[in-house]
Amino acid sequence: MLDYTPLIVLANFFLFPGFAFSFIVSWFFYWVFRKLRARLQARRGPPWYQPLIDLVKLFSKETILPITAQKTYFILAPLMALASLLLALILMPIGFTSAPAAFVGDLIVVIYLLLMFGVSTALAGSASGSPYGAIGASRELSLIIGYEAVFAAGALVPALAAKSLLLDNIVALQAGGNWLLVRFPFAAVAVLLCIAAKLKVKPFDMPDAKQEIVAGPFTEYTGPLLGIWYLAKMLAWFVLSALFVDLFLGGGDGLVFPLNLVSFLIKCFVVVVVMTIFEVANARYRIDQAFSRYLTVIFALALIDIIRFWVGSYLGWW
Amino acid sequence: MLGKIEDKASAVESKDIVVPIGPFHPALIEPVYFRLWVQGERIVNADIKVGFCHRGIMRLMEDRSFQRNIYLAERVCGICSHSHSTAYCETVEQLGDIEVPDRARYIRTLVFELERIHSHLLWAGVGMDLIGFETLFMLLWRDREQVMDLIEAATGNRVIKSINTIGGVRRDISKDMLGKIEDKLKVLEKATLNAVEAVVGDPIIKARVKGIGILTTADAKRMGAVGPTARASGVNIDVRRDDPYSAYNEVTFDVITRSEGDLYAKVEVRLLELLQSISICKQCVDKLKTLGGSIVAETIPEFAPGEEAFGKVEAPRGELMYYIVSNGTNIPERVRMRTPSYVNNPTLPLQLIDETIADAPIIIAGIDPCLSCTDRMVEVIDAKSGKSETNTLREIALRYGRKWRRT
Amino acid sequence: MPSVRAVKEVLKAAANCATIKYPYGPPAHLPEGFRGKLQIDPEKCVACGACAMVCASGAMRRIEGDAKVGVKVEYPRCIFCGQCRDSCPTQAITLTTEFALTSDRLDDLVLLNELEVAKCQICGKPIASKKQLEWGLRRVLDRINPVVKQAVQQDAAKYLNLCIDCRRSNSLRLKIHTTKYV
Repeated sequence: MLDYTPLIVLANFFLFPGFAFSFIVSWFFYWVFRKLRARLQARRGPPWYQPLIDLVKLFSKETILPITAQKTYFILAPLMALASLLLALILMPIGFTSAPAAFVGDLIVVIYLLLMFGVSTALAGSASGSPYGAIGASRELSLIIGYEAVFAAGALVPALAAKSLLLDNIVALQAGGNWLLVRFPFAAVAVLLCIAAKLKVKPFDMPDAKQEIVAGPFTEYTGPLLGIWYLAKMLAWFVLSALFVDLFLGGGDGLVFPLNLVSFLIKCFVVVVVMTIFEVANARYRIDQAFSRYLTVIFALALIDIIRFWVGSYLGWW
Repeated sequence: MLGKIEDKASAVESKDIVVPIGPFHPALIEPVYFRLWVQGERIVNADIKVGFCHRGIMRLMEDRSFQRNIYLAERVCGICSHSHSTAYCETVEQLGDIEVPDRARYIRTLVFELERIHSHLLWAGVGMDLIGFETLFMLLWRDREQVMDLIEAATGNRVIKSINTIGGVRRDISKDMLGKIEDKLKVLEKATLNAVEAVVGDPIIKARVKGIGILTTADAKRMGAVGPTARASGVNIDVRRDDPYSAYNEVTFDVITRSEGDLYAKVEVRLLELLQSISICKQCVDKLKTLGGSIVAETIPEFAPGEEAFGKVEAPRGELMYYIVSNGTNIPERVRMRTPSYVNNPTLPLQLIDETIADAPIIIAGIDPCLSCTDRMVEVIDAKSGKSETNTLREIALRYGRKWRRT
Repeated sequence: MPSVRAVKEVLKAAANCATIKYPYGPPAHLPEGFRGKLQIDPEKCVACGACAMVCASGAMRRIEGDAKVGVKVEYPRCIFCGQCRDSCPTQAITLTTEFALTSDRLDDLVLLNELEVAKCQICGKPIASKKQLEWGLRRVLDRINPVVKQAVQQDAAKYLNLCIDCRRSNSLRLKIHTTKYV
């Protein structure tokens, strides 16, 4: 008897919901981000095929490895970022009620994989050997220290409500329109703001600050390596909004195929639009201002919902 | 070449890293090299090197007639092009004792203030972009397009206006053009008030610029700062009021000063100056509707040998001075321009020390640096021996064998 | 977090877009006085070279040849100042609203307006274009005192096709010297 499981996992990783599917969806979402941002800034914005031609251009150019760079980590960092995003993707239920590679505790693994995405950015910055990279890496790490605890606390609230660390169970809890966003709005806002930092959306885009440190950790990258970074940043838009939809917006709502997939993608689209409005209406924080905001106000938001959960389960609200 | 500069300089402490801002940097509109010694995110020392924009205009002017030099003077800087042109023409008119007719003076003032509006809106947009507020950058520049359309309709080009000639202006502004300018000015005033409220009242912007990049009054006077940079530090100078030229002694306006000297004060000074400029434009338009006369002086000037003249104007960045010496022919003997950025740039190291890197670009932008105006000389550093020497462009050209072309 | 005012501004901005689709669409409308590519009207130009004398960048030159004289414009050097237009005595130069001047053919970037040259009947040196001489004479005759018009016309027939040196050296012989009017 042939064991199809490895083949199925590979198909999931590369086709659905892995590389091919998420590439197309994130192409669309990234284009929406750029076009909507442009329109809200009173300008035209790029055509629909812009992300693709950007990638084609980057992959057709020459990669220059700077002399001062640590070559192994310089090349490894973008690959790490891409791989961690794709792995996180197959651990999340995309529209359907179960993830392709689900297992108990996969919420924690997803949080760690998304942390790897941030850390590989910092690794890229320090491995590139330029002062801009060093400053970008230090800012990225400060930002991670600021928001990671908040992210974990905020993501814990749906896990507490579902009494399980399995993302499938969290999604199943919200089936039928019973979204956790309604019950725990503060935790949802806290997680949304952490996702904003992971996506480098203003006001939290100081590691990438174009006007201050050229391109931060990505300054010395050119050609296909920069193409892989571009791809990773594009995919992050889908992966992170998918996580938010799974945690707080009910995932696929348990509907039948193809409605579940459609509703999932529409919800992701709404998250992308909200992120775009954040980006457009804000200036950039300094790193110390962002750090203090995370550890005070936003952490408080996550804590409020944890306290509400304990109080509520004691009093029998849910 | 830059490596040798870093080796020569003595770092403040060996663990400080040097962050270069420039010569190529997304924060800078024109090339300049700022060397910042940092500890973590805090700047402990700063140095500035200029010279990347040097084109030898003062030397070129010594080969061309007074009339042709107007076009060279205009092209020193794109943002303050009309200021340079007006300063040059005013100086030559002083030299040749030419009296400019009234209508020409008002047209010059009108275009001058329109240029100030465009320059301050440009600066505000760039400042917002450096803080990270891209949206306000785009929206402010959208409002700036109104002014550029006006300038294009009145003078024929958006940037290099070419409207001045020695003794007056080259183009008249017709009655419908005056009507159009008036309508656009109303729209612009509303948009500017909106922008001023958006910038001055936004809490994030205030948090980013308040208390940062302070230039004390004593320092401003000691370094000789001019323009909005000085006015924001409590130094009450303005060439338009102290030494009026064109029609400035016949229009009323306020000179805006603040005493804190930080970046927020500079923002306030420039934005409120914008509103003053709009009021001056309105007064000029009203006067031009009824004022008649020619637009250029009909006399043929005589330039006696050995005569010298100084001309000063208030460019958007500060006081701009021209010094011209004539030798009896129609080609000047010597032209020297002292631009405002030339004296404002050295105040930057004072403002940068003890600030963070995140604030460095906005502090640099706070003095509105115009590097095209700044460069006078070139420092050539021999990469092999580390020896440095300062030369004029002519000497470099002669040494390396390029033919010096006389047109 | 975003202030309500900022969000309102931003949503209002979405309504009117400030940029256009050029070059994938038509360019913006340029006002009439826009200083673009210069054109020389071949009917009016007399190749006098006044434009070449005042050209601030050296883009215009007066080319004198054996059989032709003309004005040559090198567009890459033009700085669109409009001095040529202001100095042209026949108003032959206009600055159009055309601004897209790039081309991959050098012929597009050079404008040459050549006219037949008039040669001195005595020494053979080129004087100016035939058109310029005729135009100059016409201008004088249009404005001159009608009392002397006849005499001037007769004299002009004698000296119009002589260069300045030959005119001077032959003025007594041809009886075109001006003291005869005194």
